[in-house]
Amino acid sequence: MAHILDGVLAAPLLVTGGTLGAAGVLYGLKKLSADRIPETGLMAAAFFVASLVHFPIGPASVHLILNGLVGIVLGWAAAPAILIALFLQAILFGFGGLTVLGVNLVNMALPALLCGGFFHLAAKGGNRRTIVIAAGLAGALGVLLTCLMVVMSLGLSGYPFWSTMLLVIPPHAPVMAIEAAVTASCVGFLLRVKPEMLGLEIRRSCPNPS
Amino acid sequence: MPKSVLTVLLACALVVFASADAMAHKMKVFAAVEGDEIVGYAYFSPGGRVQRGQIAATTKDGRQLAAPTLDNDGNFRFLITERADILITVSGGDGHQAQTLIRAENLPGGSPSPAPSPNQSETARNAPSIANDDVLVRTLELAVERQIRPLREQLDAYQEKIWMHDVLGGLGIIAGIAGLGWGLSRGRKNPSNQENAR
Repeated sequence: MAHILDGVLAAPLLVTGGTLGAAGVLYGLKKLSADRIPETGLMAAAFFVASLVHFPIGPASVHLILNGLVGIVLGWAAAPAILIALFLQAILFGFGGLTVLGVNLVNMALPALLCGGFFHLAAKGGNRRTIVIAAGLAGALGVLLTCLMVVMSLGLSGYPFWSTMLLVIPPHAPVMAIEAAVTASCVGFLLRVKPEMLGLEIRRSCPNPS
Repeated sequence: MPKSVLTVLLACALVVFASADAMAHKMKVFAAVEGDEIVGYAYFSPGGRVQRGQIAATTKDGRQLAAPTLDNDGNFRFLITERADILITVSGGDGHQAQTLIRAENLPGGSPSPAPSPNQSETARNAPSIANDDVLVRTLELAVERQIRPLREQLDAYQEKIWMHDVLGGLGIIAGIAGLGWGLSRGRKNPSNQENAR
C-alpha cells in the first residue's frame, strides 16, 4: 500500500516529510511556467485517477501509482501535481492520511523526479526505440522506488524492515510491469503527436515530409 | 492540444469510469457483540477479506485485552473480559490499518440484582421468575444482535464506498486549480506585453 495512513508513522518522520515535501512543492511551483500548467493539471488528474485502480494480488491489494510518467512529463512540477492529487484523495476518499501527506508526497514525488531525470538522461539523442524503452524502465522504477521509500518510512517507525519489504515489494511486481507498459505506450504516443510535452529533441530517421 | 490527444484521454477516462468496481481500497474491520464474545472480520473495501494481519483489542488507554488471530477468511473472535470501551485495531503489516470501537453500553451488561426481600418464601417464589426474565433478556439481546448485524455490516461497508461524484469532484477541482493558475499567470503577463507593444 503506497498511501500511508494517519497514526502509522513516527512524529519526527512526519515533520521531516512535511518539510521536504513543502520545499519540493515550492521549488516545483517556482520552476513551473504558465504554458505548462494545463499539462500539470492533466498529469495531476491522471495520478489522481490511477491510484484508484486497484488489483487484489493474493492476500494483498495494490494500486497503480503512475509517478514515473508524471515525473517524465512534468519534471519538478511533479511535486505540486502529486501534492494536489494526494490531498484530494485524502479528503475525498480517506485514502492516505493528512498528517502523513508530506511523507506520502516525498515517497511518490521523489521517485517521480528521479525517474524523470533518468528518462531524460537515457533518452537523450536516442531514437524512438531507445526513448520508449527508457520510458518503460522509468515507469517500473517509479513504482519500485516508491515501494522502497514506503518500506523505509515504515521501518523508521518501528515496523520490522525485512518482513515489511517482503509484504510491500513482491505484490507490486505486477504493478511495475503494468506501469512499464503504460508509461512506454504513453511516451510512444506523445512522441508521435506532441513530442515537446516530453521536452525531447527527436532524431528523425527520414526527412520531414512537410 | 491535438484532437488525437484529447480523444485518447477521453477514452482513458471512459475506461476508468467503466471499471468503477476496481476502485481503490481501504482496510476495514467490522466487529459485533455476540453473546459473551466479540466476533468480527477484517476486509478490504472494496475487495475481499484480509488473510494476513495482527489484531489487538485494547481499552481506550491502551491496556491490552485480547490478541486474537485472523483465520483464512479474515474472521476473529475473542471473549469479553471487561465492560469497557473496546478498541479493535487490525494492522496488515504493510501500512494498512483499520480500527473500530465497541462501546461499553453495547456490551452485555450484568443482570439487574433482585431487590433484597425480608420474606424468605417470597424470595423463593420470586427467584425463578427473575431467573427466567434474565434468560429471556439475554436471548432477546442475542436475537436482536443477529438481526441487525447484516444492517451494521452494510453500513460499515457503505461508509467507504468510492462514489463517482467524489471522483468527478476531485477531477473538477484539479481542472479548476489548473485553469485558475493558468488564467492568473496570463493576466500577470499581459500588461507588460501591452506596454511593449505600444
